[in-house]
Amino acid sequence: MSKYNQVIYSNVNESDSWTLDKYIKQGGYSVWKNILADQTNKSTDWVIEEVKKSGLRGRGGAGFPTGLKWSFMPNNDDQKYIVCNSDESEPGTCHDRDILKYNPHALVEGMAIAGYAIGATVGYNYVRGEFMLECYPRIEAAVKEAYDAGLLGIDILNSGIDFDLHNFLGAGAYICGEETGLLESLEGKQGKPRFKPPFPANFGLFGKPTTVNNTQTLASIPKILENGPKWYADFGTEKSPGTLIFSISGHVNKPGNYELPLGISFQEVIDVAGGILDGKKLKAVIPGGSSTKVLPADIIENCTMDYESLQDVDSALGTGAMVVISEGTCMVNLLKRISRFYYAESCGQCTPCREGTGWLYRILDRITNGEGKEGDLALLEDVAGRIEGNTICAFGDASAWPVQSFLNHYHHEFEYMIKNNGKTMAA
Amino acid sequence: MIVEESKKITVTIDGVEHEAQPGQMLIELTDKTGTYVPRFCYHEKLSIAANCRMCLVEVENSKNALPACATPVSDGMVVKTKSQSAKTAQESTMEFLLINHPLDCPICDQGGECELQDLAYTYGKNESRFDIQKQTKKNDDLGPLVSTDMTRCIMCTRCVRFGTEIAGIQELGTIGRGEDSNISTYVAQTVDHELSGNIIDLCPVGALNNKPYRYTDRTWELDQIESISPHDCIGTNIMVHKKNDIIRRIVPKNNPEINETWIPDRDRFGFDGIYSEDRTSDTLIRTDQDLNQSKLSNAVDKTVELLNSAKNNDQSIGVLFSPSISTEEQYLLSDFCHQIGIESIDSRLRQGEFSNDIDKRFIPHMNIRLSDVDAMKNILIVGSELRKETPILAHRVKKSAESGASIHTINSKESEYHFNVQQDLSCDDWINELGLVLKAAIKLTQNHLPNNIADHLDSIGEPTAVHEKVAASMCQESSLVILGLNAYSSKNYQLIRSYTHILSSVCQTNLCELSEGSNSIGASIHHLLNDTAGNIQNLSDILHRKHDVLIMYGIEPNDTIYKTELIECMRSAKNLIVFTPYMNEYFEEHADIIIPINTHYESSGSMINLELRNQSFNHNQIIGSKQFSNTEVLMSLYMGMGIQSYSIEEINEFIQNGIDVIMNSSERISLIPEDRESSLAPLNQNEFNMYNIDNILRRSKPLQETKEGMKI
Repeated sequence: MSKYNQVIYSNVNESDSWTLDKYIKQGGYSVWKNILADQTNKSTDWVIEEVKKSGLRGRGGAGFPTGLKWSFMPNNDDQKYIVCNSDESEPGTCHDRDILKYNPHALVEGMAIAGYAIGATVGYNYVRGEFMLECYPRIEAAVKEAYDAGLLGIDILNSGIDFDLHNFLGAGAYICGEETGLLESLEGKQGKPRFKPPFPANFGLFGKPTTVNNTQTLASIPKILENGPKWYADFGTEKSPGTLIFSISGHVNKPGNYELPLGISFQEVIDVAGGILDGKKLKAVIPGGSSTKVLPADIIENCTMDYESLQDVDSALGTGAMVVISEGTCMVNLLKRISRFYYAESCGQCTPCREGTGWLYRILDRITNGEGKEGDLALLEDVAGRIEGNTICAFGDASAWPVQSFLNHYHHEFEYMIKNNGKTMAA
Repeated sequence: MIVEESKKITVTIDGVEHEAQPGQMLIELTDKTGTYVPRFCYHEKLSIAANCRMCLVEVENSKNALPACATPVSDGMVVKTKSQSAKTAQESTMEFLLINHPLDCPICDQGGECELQDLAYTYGKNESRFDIQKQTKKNDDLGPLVSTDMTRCIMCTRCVRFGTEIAGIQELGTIGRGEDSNISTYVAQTVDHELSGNIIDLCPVGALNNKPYRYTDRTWELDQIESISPHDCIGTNIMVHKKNDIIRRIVPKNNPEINETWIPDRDRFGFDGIYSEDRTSDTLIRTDQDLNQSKLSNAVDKTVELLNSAKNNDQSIGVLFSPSISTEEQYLLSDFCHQIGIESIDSRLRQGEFSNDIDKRFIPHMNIRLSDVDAMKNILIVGSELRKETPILAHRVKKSAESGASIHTINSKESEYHFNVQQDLSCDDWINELGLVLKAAIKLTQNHLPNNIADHLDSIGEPTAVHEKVAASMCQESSLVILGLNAYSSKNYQLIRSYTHILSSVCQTNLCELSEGSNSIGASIHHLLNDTAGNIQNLSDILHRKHDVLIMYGIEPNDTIYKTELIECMRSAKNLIVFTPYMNEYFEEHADIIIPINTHYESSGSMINLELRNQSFNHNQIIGSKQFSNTEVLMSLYMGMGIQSYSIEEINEFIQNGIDVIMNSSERISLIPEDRESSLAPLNQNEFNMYNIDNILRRSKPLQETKEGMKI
């Protein structure tokens, strides 16, 4: 088991892992203290270079290289911000929740280091509203402990470095996980994504240069710098270095969060999760959160779990939230459930998404109610195609891709249901 | 922004190369080069929202279609606005917009001038593929001016951005998410901003419409006349829409130098007052206590007889006329009085103090263009509720504030501004505050001033850091002092005005003096060109005399801040001759001769706005109260008296001469007036009501139903 839970989850099975004492005992804040003590050798450039070398890619879903993203920040005297996206809301995804719960100091340290690297003296951690009772008290306590220990604030440990960190609780909207929607919400406005350009690196929070990173990304930073970029990169493949926390849900015996090396075979992931529930056969997998394209068993079984392998089969690693679907599951009903989510969560500013997501859901709803019409499948595909790529943010695509991929792989199930007045083909 | 030649870039649109400026959005370039890209949310005066997705175009090397409104041009960019992929994207958006849009065009007021309807012809399908129940939405009551049919709303958010960016006060916002998004005031309240009616024009569909105009006409049945609005000294450009020679509605006429695309609500809804029930079309003469109908010629004969006898017996004749009628009318009336020797004539009905005549040569106006205000860096607003007095000028000041100008205010009370005010010196003792700013400015500039001023300033106290800040700000480049109507109506007007003029000279600022009505400058022209002796009597003198003949032309007691005095003056006059579009209880009781005249909206002529811009209007096709024009009525007086009038052409020459005189005089008041108790106590000077400033607005039903109107 030595290759599992090595980086971010290395301490999650310990008791009281979320306390400052425990974190420090395991070497926590050593990187941050080293930086504070020796800014000549541990310069901001050094941090960015090390992160670049580690090959760490953003864990929010898009997989953009983190070091490169940091290097986009303008080098001027403007106030800058580092913002952590803890608005984990992609259906199926729950790994940030455990970071906030069991290893919050890794995030605090990661944000402090990131802030240092990009020249931000203020950080905001935007936490999903639904985490109000479970995670928020933990991360709040961690920030307080760090302040009390003098690891945050003004002139930290007489280093001349300032870094303030604030947690912010969202109000429960999927769209606030989109980075510019998040920034709007953080500013006190409705969570409606901004059009880009300008990108947050130039015009971010309160109009100032801002970098937004995912919780998992930032929480990886201390370990990467502690053990060196090669140590981290070697877990994974050349193009997908390091580890990823897979949130495995659906029809497996041991659903849960598992930090695994990237490039691991699909079968191994299923084995880690205890195999398919009730010994059934695998039918399909949604590999990276509900917006990534569904893959039938015969395709995913030949995949390794990394960015490039899943891209080759026209899906994506996304957030690493695998929804495992066994034989006997009705794909029409499943898609209807997914579509309802996107219909309910559209922010409503762009016409195609506002109007289209409801249309998609209603067509699917009537199909499952036995009122499907001939031509509905072509209409679904066409409407989804008219949303895709035509909106301000990627939400439009996220609502279209499930429809397109479900129809692509399971067209016959939809046809059957329309012809048989809502009867599902899945036994 | 000046772009160097080398920085010009080339963009290819539909196969044709165009030169573009870096940073420009694609839609600005396509608009400039005449390639139409459909749009709903984009509006050149508002910020970019990029939410309607109608302007999607194909850009080479981009996977997705891009919104032309939010895509900056770049060198070598190749854009296709009519390619298959662009068309598919545009048609997709149109289909989505229409699926929940009601098919009620036949009963929708927007029909015929609806951006959605127009574009649906080109980009829409003939049949809908959406066979599911359409949505409906709840309507908010936004007050008496703007109607709502929110089911028609396409969520372009132009009205919301108007509130934030132009009105400066957000009255409408978006609430809800996804399909449940709605435009609303959130907490039920009306839209009360003085510019609120503009959201009617901005709304590309029939969601926000003109409430008083609702369900009256189809737009294609209307004719339009270009015109000028008569409700303030700005000279707002409007389009009068009429049917069967009756005004149905008024919309803005875009004039980038004056009002841009906006008009205040009073310019849009005020005209309703000309259809008030108390319009009079009968010529009346009092015989045996009662007013009896008569022919115009009889009334003119009677007037001439009265004037002749009063004139010959050296008895008192007083004339009061409206500052909001055409310069031609004002000139004809003034010259008529001049020729028969009447010296008691005035139109300054809201001026608070007449104790000194040192201001005779200084006609209130502004020495820069309205559009120059946008670029001012330091502005001091003295004695003004600017938003109510001149909403368009207030908007210009707001623009300057947004580009970094420092705005300071001094007034008798605090007002709500839609821009940031740096120093607000408003208080009961505000005039002294102004004096202290002047004192600080004199110190700062080390100016040597005549003893009269130095002695006076010695007595008012010492300036503090705040006064010095304002003075320093005024001494910088691109500074402007605005003297408002609250100051104009103050009983210390002369002192405030002197302070303002001297401050303006000392700091070398630009100066803008607001004037009452829409054409006070026009009213001053005759006097300016003809008064050599300087012995013309003013309103104060007129109101304090018992007249043998008192003439009121186009005004009523509510038009002056000296209402009580005027009513007493009317009562005590032996003969009261009234030229009026409206009847009222005072005329019924006191007038001896009533001659009906037309309102602004039924007349023709010209008016001079505060920046000395002479603009003409022609409303001859609009049915008035009577068959004679106002100039014809005045001409009949000339004939009756056997004197010659100037022709309209000659008068227009005089008007131009008068404008030149004002424009070429850069002299400012340089003396402090001697202390003299004002003989008149202005009434209600602090209750300037923007919907009670002239006889038309006072009678406009929609305006009277607004919150401001209800205060009257």
